[in-house]
Amino acid sequence: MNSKGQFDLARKSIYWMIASVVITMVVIFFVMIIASYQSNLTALPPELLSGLVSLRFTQNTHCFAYQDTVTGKVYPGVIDLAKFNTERMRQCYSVPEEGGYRELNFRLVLVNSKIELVTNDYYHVDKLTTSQKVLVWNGVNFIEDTLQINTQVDI
Amino acid sequence: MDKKASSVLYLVFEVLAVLAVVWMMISVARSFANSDRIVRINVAGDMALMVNTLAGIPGDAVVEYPQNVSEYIFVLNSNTVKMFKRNDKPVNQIEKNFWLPQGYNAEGVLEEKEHLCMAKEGQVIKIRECEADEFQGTV
Repeated sequence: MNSKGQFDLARKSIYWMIASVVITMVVIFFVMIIASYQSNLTALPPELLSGLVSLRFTQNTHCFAYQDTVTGKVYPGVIDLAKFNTERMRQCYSVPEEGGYRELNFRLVLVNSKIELVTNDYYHVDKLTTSQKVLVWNGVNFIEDTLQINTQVDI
Repeated sequence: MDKKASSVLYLVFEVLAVLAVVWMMISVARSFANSDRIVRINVAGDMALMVNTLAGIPGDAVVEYPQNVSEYIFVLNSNTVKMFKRNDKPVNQIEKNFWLPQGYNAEGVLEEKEHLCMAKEGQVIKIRECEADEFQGTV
């Protein structure tokens, strides 16, 4: 091969060395775009999950909802102050010790009663906060209060 | 080597390389498009949301999932819902977690039935096939 032919060969070789790297990066980028699109289609808004999980706090008698001991009637939206403690919180909602920080964790605050409860892997990294008016049964009468639900999403 | 021959060879190689790259990218796109992974993730997520919702209401309830799920098998246990097709590889199975109050249990298996119902009976949440006319007459 003459020198011009050798030059052509060398030029093509260098071109394909660079082009192969660029093409590989383009293909990888293309795959990442599709994977990202897929994860956008399956993403669940944390507000929705938090709202549905936190329903239990005011609606379920095994959490904090008040239940009349005589009639057995459940009063959704009414909190039994006698149940509003850490032990009940652990029974109502607990995440695994290992990796629990990846799940939803909550900090509940009864504003007027000045009581605060947290779940077992809560690290004060609030992402969402909602408030709702509730009634609180203190054993004698019903009093108005505000339940603040602070949600820690995956950290 | 003859210069003209080597040019033709390079040209053929370049065309083949471009065709290979195009084929690879179309294959990747087609495999994503033909996969039902997105459907599975969304349905399994819906199952977990349904369990959380049922755990959050007082009393008993039953809810029907508004989609034909006859291609899938569902397994519900106390912390997870698994969804897969018959003869699926483990990597294709979708699993979602949920955390129930103490004393609550979730159970049930539903194999390739069209209508899926989830029922809360006391402290047990079950997955089962909907009964005929179960929701007839309801709003």
